Amino acid sequence: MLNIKNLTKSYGEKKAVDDLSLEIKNGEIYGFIGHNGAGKTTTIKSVVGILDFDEGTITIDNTDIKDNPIECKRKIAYIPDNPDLYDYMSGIKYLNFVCDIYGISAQDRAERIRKYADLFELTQDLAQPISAYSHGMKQKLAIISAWVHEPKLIIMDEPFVGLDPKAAHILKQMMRELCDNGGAIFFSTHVLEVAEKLCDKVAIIKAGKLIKSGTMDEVKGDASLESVFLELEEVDA
Amino acid sequence: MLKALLRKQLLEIYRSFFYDYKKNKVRSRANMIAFIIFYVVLMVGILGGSFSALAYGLASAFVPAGLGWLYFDIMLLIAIVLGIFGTVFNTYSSLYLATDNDLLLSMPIPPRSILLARLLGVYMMDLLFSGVVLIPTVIMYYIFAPVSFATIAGPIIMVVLVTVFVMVLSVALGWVIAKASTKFKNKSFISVLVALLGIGVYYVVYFKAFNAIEAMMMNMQDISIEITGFTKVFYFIGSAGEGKLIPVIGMTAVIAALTAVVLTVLSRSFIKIVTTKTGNAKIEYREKTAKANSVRAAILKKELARFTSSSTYMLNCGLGSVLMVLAAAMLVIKGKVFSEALLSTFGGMNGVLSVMLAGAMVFIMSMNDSTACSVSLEGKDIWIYQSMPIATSDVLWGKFMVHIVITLVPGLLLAFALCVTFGITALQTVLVLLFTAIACVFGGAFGLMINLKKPNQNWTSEAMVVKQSFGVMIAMFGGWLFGMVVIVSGILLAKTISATLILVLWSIVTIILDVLLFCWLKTKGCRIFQSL
Repeated sequence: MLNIKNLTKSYGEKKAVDDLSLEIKNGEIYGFIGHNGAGKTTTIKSVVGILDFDEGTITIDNTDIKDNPIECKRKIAYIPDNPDLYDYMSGIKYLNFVCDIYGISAQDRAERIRKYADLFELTQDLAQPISAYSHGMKQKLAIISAWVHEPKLIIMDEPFVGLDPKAAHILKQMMRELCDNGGAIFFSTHVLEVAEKLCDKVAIIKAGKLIKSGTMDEVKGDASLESVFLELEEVDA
Repeated sequence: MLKALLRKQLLEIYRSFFYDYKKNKVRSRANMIAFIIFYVVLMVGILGGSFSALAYGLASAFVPAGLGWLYFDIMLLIAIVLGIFGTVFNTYSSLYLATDNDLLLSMPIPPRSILLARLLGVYMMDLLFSGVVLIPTVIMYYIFAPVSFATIAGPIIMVVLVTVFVMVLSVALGWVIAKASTKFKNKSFISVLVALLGIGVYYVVYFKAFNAIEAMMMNMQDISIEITGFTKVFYFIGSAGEGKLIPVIGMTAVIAALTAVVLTVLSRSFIKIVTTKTGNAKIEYREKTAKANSVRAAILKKELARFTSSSTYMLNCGLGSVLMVLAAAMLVIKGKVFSEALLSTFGGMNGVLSVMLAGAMVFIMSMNDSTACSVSLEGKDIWIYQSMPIATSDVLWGKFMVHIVITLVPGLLLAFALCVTFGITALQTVLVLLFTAIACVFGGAFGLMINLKKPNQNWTSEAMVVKQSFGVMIAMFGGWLFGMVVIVSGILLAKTISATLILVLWSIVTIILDVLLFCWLKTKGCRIFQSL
């Protein structure tokens, strides 16, 4: 579904991502962990076509993001680390805008918006302007807007930040459901317990370089993900 | 603490001089100097130059005749009007809608200090606009006035007093808008309405004052003999500019008192207004079947929603539409008076009147510069467009179309009203309308190009990009310059070629410019937007 080959991105002299390669297959929840400034967001932004990268290739469902960005973006959804949404719109107007862009029919969008807004208990707030939303509500709206057009691949940067425990639980279920139905998820997180329980595969990045990746068992063995992560951080320090 | 806040505020205002947002790095020294020189040339050279000519003419006549006070009255009125134009639309958003208000209020900073730092931003803007009138006023006065301590210090004190006065007026109106917006649902429209009413009152006062001065000028002999009644007020104000002690003290006292009152009211209500998330009751959601829109229709709807969501944006970048409709209505009602006055002034230019009207239309339409800040206004939300499966050209098209939607119809309406009022022939009327439409397209595309060249995604107040940005200034002044060139071409070519031919030529030239701009937007413009 997602294939990253030798991705390199520099900001001036500094290499934010250095020769990173990853493959995410259909049905996989792929966790991406690393300390602050390790290169997670740069990688994610390159994958979703927001950031131009220097070297390497990124293909989504065998389509190159540089050659055909629109085709790639049609298959994915992206949730950034900070849900900056159009504050001047109401929640429902924002969702309808997203549906218009992805060509979702009036009937389908009504059903999906109802389903996900009810799940996240956001239905009663949909007519409110987004400016009146709390951080958690904005995050829920960003999640609904990602799921509403039924993408094949969802890419999320710290998706659990700001969510209440119930919403976080629902999100985890939705992630599993999407992958069970043949989709894929690539997300970054600092919550290692979540990554350990939820992810099929995990990649650890440090100073732009991939230092370990594979199935959860391959990466952590019998230890906890946290201890492996901390150990890897110290070894390379 | 106040010093740190003031430094932060100044950094925000002037950051574009030192930092290239597009390249995300500090400008080189040469680039910085070139940028500042360009800005100074634009403000002092173009705007200041025209006011210098006016000041020179008035000072040379009035100051040696002992009517320095009248000279100051006239110039101060102009400075006040320009200063208010420059600040009034953005005080509300600068003071109350800054995105870092919550952050600063959570810190151990007295609200009064936050307010003062914000006021500095308003004052700097006011100084910039009033300054292009006040600086030539002072310089020309120095040239013609006898040298003494009073004649040197007086104008400087007057500059300070007038700019503070303009700031106080703007801030007072901003406060009224802020109070009103906490009470109403449609706060952006209410804000626009209150601001327009405020502006209306200012301009009525301005025209009355100007008429009074005009009447005085008609009877200069009598004034030199006896200064009584209403004239005394003008004499008092103008004399402060000449450095006369009692008027200086009186004016200082009045403006200081006014400032103290306004600042007290503002600092008492600041926290309450900033932290009030509008007095609206929760809007109940009722599920409705939404109509599916095409991508372009969805983008246009979103862009129009952005425009109408902000009173600052509407007032600064759409006021031209209101003025064009009002002007067209005025022409319908009092067209004869206007046409007689103008035809008597430009009697010899009757043949190219249509070209002058076409130039005037460019001038007026450039007051609408919604595209010149539309990219910057995406701010931190820009990831939404960038991550969506849409062509960047469609996004830019949406921004461009907002300009067309708000400008084209009022523009054509005014152009038609002008042509009818001034008895322009049918063929030339069609050409003026055609040129107006082509120039409207140019204005929108030019603004978009400028904003893509000078974007700023990191703002804490919309006013920073809507009012204080380099792009908006260039778009507006560029439009004025274009309009002037069209008018001057009409005057210069009047005896050589017909107005019809001049209009045809300008239409062709502008179409070529439009095509070039669209080619740039479609290629480089799209690449820049995607890389922001």
